[in-house]
Amino acid sequence: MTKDYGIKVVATGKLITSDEPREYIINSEFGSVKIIQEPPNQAYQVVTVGDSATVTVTIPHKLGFIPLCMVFTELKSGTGRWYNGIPLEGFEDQTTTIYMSDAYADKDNLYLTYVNTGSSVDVKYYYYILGDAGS
Amino acid sequence: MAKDYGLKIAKSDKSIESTDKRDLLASSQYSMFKYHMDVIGTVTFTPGDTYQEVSFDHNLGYVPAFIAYYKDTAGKLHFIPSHRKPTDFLNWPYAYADRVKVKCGYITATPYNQYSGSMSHAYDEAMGSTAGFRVGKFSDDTARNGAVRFTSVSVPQGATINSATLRVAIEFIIGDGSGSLIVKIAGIDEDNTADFSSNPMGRTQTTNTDIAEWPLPAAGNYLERSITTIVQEIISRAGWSSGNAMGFLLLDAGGPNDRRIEDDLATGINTQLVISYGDNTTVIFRAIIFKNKIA
Repeated sequence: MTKDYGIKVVATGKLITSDEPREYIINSEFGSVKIIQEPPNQAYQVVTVGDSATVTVTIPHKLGFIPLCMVFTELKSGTGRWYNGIPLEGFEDQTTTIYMSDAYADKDNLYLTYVNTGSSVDVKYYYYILGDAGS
Repeated sequence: MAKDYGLKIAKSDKSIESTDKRDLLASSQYSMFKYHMDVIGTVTFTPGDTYQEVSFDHNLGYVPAFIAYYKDTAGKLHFIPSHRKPTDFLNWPYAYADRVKVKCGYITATPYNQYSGSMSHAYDEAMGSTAGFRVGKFSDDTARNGAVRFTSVSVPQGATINSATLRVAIEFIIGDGSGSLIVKIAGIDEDNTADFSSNPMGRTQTTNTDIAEWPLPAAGNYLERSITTIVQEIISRAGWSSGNAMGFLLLDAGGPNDRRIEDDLATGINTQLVISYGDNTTVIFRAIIFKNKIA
C-alpha cells in the first residue's frame, strides 16, 4: 500500500524509495527552509558606521513569529570577504575596525549591531529571513 | 478566485489556504536555498602555529551564501562562528566566502603548544642583587654567576618537550677581555621555583646540564642555547604543574678573564625562554555552499 506523501522529489541519481533525507530535493514528510525575505532587489545593503560608533540596523519582517535568520557581513570594507553570523575575523582581516556585537530577531524585526573602533566606514551586509520559526 | 501561485505545497495537516508561512513546505512565492557543494577539509597545527586555514574553491564567480562548521578535538561539531566576540577571547574559528572560495580557519591567541616568556626574576651572585644577572669572569679572574626565573610556564606536567631554547640577552658586554664565554646552564630542580628573594645559587641542579661556548655578538643581541633535556627533566617532575615557575643557573665554566655579559631586569632586552611541546593536532572543517548569491 503506497503512503500519501503529498510530494517527493529525489536528487538526480538517487532512488525515490531512499530512506536518506539528504537525498531528497523536497519531501513533504520533512520541513524545508523557505527564504521569506532578502534585501530589496537581492542586493547587499550598506550601513555607515561613524567614528568609534555603534549602529543597529533594524529590518522589519512582521512575520508574527521569531524566524530563523542568516546574516553575512563584509567585515573589512572592500575586501570581498564575507563572513556569516556574528563573525570573528579571519587571519587576513585582523586589522579590521569593525565587529558585530549582536544579531537577533524578534517577532517584528531582525536587528544587526555593528561596532566601529576606528574611523567612519561603510559596512556591507546581506540577510536571509527564513519562513521557519527560530522560537 | 484562485490565485496563480505556480506551486504551493502545505505541510501535512496544514491548510493550503493558511496565511502562516510556517505552514508551507514550498511556495513559488518564496525561494529556497539551492545546494551547490558540500566540502570537508583538515588543517594541522604544529607547536608554534598561530593559525591555520583551508580553502574550498566554489567556482561560482560571485559570493555565495554558506554555512560552515568545525569539529573540535572532542569530536563536537560547532557552527562558525559559535559565539560573540568577548574582549578576553583566546582562540576562534572563522569562515568567509569571496568570489572564488570559502575559506575556513582557526586562530590561536598564543602559539599552539608553545610557551614563550621573558625572565621575571634574576640574581647576580657577586652583588647579591636581584636587579639583573651577570655571567662570565671579573677582572681578577673570579667567576660571575647568575640565575634567571620564568613564571607562568604554561606547559603540562609530563608533556613531551620538542624543543626548549634559552635566549640569553646581551644587554651589556663588560670587561677588557676577549673570546667566547663558557657557561654551564643548569635547571633549578624544583617543582615550582621560588623567587630570588633568597640566594638561589645553592639550589639543587637538574641532572641534565649544558655547557655552552658562546662567541659574543654585539650588545643588543641574544645568545641562544638548546636546553631541551633540562626543561624535560623539570616538566617530568611529578610535582610540576602548568603555570609553575622555572629557574636556571648560569655559571661560568672557565671562560676568559675580564669578560662577562649583563642583563638588567627592568631595562632593555630581557632573557627569554621558548618551549615547544606535544603533538600536532588537526581541526576538521565542513562547509555547505549554496548557489544563492549575496554579492
